[in-house]
Amino acid sequence: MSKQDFQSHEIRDIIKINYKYTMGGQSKFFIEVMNNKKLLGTKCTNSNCGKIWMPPRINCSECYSPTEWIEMKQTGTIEVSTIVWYTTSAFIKSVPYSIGFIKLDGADTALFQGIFSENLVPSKVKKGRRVKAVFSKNREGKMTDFFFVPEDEYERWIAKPEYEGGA
Amino acid sequence: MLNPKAQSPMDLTIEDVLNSRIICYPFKMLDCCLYSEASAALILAPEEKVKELGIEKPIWITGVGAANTDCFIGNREDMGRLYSNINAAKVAYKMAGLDYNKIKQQVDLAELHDAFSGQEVISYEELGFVPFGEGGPWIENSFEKPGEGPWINGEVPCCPSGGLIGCGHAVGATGIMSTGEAALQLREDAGKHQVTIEKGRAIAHSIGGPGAAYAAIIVMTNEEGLKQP
Repeated sequence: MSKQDFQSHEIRDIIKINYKYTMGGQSKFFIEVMNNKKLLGTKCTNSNCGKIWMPPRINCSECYSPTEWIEMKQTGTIEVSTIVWYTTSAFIKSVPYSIGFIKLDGADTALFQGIFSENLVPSKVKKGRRVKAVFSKNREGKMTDFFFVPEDEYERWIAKPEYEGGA
Repeated sequence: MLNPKAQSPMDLTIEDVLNSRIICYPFKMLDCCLYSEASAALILAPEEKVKELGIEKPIWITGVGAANTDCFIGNREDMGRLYSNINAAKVAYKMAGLDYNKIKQQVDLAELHDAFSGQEVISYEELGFVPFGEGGPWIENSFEKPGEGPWINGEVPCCPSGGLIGCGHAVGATGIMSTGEAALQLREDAGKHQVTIEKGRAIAHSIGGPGAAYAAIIVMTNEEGLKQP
């Protein structure tokens, strides 16, 4: 058969891969979110440091001492935020939504998380705004199990059938 | 656009940018660079080699500064700032014998890392051209005023090449591109986007890494610049 006669026949198909990944030393954070609607941070055990990490760090990134788990408040303040209009397929149904760094009350570092609002305008999510955590009823132990809402919208959000308040 | 090598040459008005599609508040599509693929190269040589080969119009690196801030943005004191820019700039200026507080009077141009329009504005402030919070007003107050602002005929022309938004952002190669552009300017070989070279010094700036934690700044000088105080 000459090269000119050759025709390639192509079929479009899908490859599926099942896999697991572990949250490692931070697993307790995700288990507590899933089972108990709690937000856990870590506190450095070095008495000279005592930095409170949220999201949790297993060892203090400041002084490298081990940390211990502590329960955090579920209210906090927005440090920086943006409103997302362009995103991946996983979040496309939520556009527009806000994401930002939220410093939970008592924490020394800020957590990167979604901020939802019924009336999402930039002033709702600007620096200094108070927010509170809302949990999905159907939780899988992922970061998407919870999000933050402006404090004055909290009661309305937890009244929705798919969401509930934290512990 | 005056740079024939730019990947995204566009003749834009303020309205064009404001009317473009929103990506992430407050950035519109035309505030964002084109994420691109390209390569860039510089030829570096020690002083003796340059003299041995009789290279014409060499550009000398007189200051280099690099600094890191927290990769984890949640641990930064001011999350809207890149303190690594300030530290890298101070180190590079000091090595080059320049003054952070007077840098605007000491250089002819700067090629800044403007992957997004806001990054260029905070860089004006962090590299010492204007005080904190004055980057935006520096632009707003200098429209159509030759000799003022960051324009191509301004106080310190910033990104006369078009920057990353104009040239395209080939991640990893852009720092080299900016350095090369600044070198061409100092040799007065830049072409249509050539700025006036009086002091013989230029700044090339690049940032990268998680949360843009890493900043690098190079101060370059032409033969004339070496003789100036």
